Amino acid sequence: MKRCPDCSYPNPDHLAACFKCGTALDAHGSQAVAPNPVSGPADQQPTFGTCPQCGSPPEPGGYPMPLCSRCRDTLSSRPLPAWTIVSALLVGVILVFAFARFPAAVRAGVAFERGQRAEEQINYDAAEEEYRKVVAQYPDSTEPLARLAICQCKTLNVMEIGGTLKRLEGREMSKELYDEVDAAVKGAETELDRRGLLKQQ
Amino acid sequence: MFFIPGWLISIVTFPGVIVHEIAHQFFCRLFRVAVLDVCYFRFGNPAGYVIHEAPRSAFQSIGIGIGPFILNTLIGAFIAAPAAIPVVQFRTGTPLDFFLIWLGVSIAMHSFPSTGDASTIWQAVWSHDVNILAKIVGAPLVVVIYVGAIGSVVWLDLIYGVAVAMLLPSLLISAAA
Repeated sequence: MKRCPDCSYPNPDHLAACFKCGTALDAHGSQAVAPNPVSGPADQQPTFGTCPQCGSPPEPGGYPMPLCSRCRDTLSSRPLPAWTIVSALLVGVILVFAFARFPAAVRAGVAFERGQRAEEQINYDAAEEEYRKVVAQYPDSTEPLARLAICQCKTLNVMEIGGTLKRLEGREMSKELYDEVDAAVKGAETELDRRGLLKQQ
Repeated sequence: MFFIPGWLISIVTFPGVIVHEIAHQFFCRLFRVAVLDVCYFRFGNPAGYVIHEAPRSAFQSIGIGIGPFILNTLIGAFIAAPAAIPVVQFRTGTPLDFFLIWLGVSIAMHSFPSTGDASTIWQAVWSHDVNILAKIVGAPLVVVIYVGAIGSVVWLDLIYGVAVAMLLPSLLISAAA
């Protein structure tokens, strides 16, 4: 980057004249120079505001920099380097992948939230239904599976509780959650025993 | 408040820097503003930059200045959301989920315009050709941008990135449930 000696504007290296004020950036430069009309001798001054890229007349329309139309088009649509295109494509592919996963993740998230609310309202049937949706989407997640087991214990869903508890075996979980599952299982056993159902199985 | 060198943060979150500069360049192309030089990533401060001619209008200056704020926020949020939901809500996640969260936070935390961007927008808002209504609307916006740009010293950019990538999905789900 070349700093203009007159206005300190940061110019790209390939330019021989400042984009902002036209001051020569490099006296030995091979490119066409549009010298600063203020600093040059009066009889050697070029036409004020010629395009510093190609020396053509500047584009009308009140642009602050005296660029010609063709150079402005070229510079405004400057192509991205190959590695940047690859990076952008990679981010684009990941974005599409994320978009594809988004609806399922939101559905599971909403179901989990509704399950928790239903549990708070002691509506374990509804909570079980919501947690089942989450487990179907995220079978490896321990928390929804544990909450499903708790709800199945509360609703005495003897057909499914065994399978759910088996899936929980060997999984790491917080002590708080483990205690909650343990208490729910013991509560279910007590209730089944009281009804005389435990001995029959 | 602990100190981590800026170059290290830039390396760890380099995708955000690249997206930020591409966003600047995209808005320059949109407004047909000549781009004089671009650096998408480097080991220095700033980690990237886009040097462009002065836009013709304050609207264009503001658009180029806050373009990355819009694009980085949206891209970061959408990349991280499907991964953040299981991690935040179910306390579980695969390595892929954590990769997507890193990418989303990296991109979202580079949403804030730099102090250089803020300075350009400030000059545009207070230029003579801008009407008083635009000044009234634009001035608070620039103040917010300045706060965001300066706030990186106290990790405001990281806090914003984490909030966009991880907390926003949870808030949306709470509202939808």
